[in-house]
Amino acid sequence: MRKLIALALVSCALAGCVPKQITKVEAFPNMYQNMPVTVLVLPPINNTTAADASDCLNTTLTAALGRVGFYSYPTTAISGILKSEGISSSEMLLNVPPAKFRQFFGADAVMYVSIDEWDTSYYVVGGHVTVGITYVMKSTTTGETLWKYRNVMKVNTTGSNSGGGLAGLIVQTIATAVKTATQDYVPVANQVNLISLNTVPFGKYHPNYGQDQSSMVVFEKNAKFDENSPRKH
Amino acid sequence: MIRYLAFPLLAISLLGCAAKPFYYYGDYTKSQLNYLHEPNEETLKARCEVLDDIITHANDKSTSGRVPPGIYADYGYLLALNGKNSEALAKYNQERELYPESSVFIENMINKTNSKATK
Repeated sequence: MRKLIALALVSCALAGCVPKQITKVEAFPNMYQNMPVTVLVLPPINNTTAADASDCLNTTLTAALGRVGFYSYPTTAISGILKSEGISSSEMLLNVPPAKFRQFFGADAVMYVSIDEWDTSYYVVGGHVTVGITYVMKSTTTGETLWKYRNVMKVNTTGSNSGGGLAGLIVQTIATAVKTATQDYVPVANQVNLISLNTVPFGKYHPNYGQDQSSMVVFEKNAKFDENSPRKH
Repeated sequence: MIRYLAFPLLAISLLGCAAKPFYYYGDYTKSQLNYLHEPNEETLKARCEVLDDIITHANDKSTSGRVPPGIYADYGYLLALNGKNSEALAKYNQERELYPESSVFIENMINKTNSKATK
């Protein structure tokens, strides 16, 4: 019996039931060797039908990157500049060598973001949004990948049940419908950024800069994916 | 890998109540989206108020005591878009002073503003 349990546990761990976490330096050694100060986030590539998602995510990224200690460029200004230079789609930016961004913006690193999934599910008294985002940060001097993360999260958009009872349930139903339908994506975007960017080796402005190498916050599967293959649904 | 977050907003707002954030961003995202979706006098005014709030309260509402990166530049860009060139230039210079690593970017922004002005 004990042997069976032991075997089950081992196979469970091997099967990946228990997601493996690794340290920041184990996941992203390049970044500690080539730490950028200025990071340019490009407008996200939206691979979903949720048209509002990319604008929303774009506006949250300046703050998200600033919070982990980098000089982050204001995303509206960047979008505006790119548009005036004739770059109308983010896909066009994929073909621009990272060194160009260093030349035009003085950026040490450039971050490519793609929205792979943004599905709202609504079931009367509850709702959630499934969000899938891929982030890749590359050095503008060497072109190598410094940090990358691919995350899929389910974020609850259920309205709160204030008051209880039938009246409360009705309020909750309406609140959920409003929250899910008006697609108030800002809290959703903030959440995904918070969780994902928590794995970035901190930049120079962060209080824990240079002290986070052994921080075991990185889910290995999310960090070690083939960035050249698109996310399968 | 799918994770289900039960009370995400609650958790994050509690975090916010507990301690001052590293940077204070105020209503940055919402006001930007409002202006983006409907650029008019009202949303512009609201946006400027939010940016002013972030700048004014950088000292007392954040642990860094500093205006976050990109805020002055963002403000400058907004002012330049609306024809307020000299004010825009002032904001750009403030960004460069606070964050010298932004100088290549700021130079470009200043040149764009000046070339628009001379047209």
